[in-house]
Amino acid sequence: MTLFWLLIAAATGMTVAQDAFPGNVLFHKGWYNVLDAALLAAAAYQPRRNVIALCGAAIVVLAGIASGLMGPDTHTVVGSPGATVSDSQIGSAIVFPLAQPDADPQSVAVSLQNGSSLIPIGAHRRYFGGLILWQSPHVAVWVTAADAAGNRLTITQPTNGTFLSPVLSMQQSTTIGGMNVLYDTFAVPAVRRTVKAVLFNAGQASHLGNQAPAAGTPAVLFAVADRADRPVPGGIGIVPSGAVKKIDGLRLGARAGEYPAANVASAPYLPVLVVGALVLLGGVVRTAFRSKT
Amino acid sequence: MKWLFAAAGALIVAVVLKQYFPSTNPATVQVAAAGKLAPSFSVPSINGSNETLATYRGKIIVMNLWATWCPPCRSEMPDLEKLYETYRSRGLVVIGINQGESRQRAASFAQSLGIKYPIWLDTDQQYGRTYIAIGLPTTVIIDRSGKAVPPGFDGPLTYSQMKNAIAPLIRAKH
Repeated sequence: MTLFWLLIAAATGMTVAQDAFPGNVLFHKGWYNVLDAALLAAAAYQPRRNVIALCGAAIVVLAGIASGLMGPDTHTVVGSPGATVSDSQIGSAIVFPLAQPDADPQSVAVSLQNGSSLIPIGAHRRYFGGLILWQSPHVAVWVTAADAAGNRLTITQPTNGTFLSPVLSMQQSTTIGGMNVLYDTFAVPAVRRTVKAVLFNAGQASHLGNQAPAAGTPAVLFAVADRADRPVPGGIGIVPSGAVKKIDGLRLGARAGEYPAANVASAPYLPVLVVGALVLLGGVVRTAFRSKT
Repeated sequence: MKWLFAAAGALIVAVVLKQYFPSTNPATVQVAAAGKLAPSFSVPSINGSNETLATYRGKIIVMNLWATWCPPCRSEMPDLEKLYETYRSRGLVVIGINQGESRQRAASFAQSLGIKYPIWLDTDQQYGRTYIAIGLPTTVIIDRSGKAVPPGFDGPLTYSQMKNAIAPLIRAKH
């Protein structure tokens, strides 16, 4: 194998890697794409080069560099069940179907809104133009609030894109007692209260001393504050997942579960990649044929 | 021959680049369900019956999401009632969908305002989430074919705004 073919293999391999391992931040680094182009340029300057294979490799590398430098950064779109979340980086919206806390996140299909049609994403990779999308489970907490008499109250999330949702996406984290925990905030406007909900997973909840729930059960710590964000007396309580507890005159319930989030990564545009690969293959066949004759 | 290669190369570059310049305006996606069949869920009414939007197909629906703690909701409900009384004979129905509150709370509130139009209880706030309500009240108008008519309205409407919003649908032939 000549140096030309080694350089072609390395350059195209760097692009194929973007499809094989989507989402790696490496692919968006400037040096990665410069190196890819440099390998191709080095191949072009080899005295024993195959022009057809070089053209094929150039098409493949072009698709890779365009994806690496111009494609959206890898990110996760998190939404509440029932919400439609627009994403400026992909120029479209992700539709999250309604689901109950006990639903298997693998069976809930998040969809990409493409004009008037919905394209289900699913757990396996789905190509959409220059994007690869796939869904993965994300922690979510379904909360309920009622007054002392048991009358249900509206839950809002003023800082969340889904204002009227009782499902918390738990996208923030903090450290409590050496444990890294997820938290979110919601409001109960009828009683002018804001509530911070901190999730302790089953392992973390076992370290909550006499407040610890039954083994294997997550727990949610509720911290109730007034409209000015001042903690109210007696406004802190820990609720095992699936239970309801009276805190500051409110009956707060929580159920921890999982709900899919959509992962978005850019990828070399597959049809162009195929065209480039076919041209490259043509060059390989031509070389093989010539060497035989 | 060189021109052919140059044209093929330019075409490939254009095809590749197009993939990374989104053409959809995300702002237009925010209008929940606009122009599409309005999502419908089965929820209880304050009278105890189970209701869905789908059963009102053929009518013009003014769907109003509200809650008792929301002062602007309270201020527009008498106008919604007037709209309902005026246009119900012409196939219009106003449906107030309470967000997340109990039957007792919603029913006594509606009674205190003399509301006669149907009040439903969206305890799980499914309608609020699905119609991308970014505040309360939110009003969505659904035509006789069951499609949500853009735009949805965030915030209270005056009676004349309500009338203007439904006028084309009232005028349209069945």
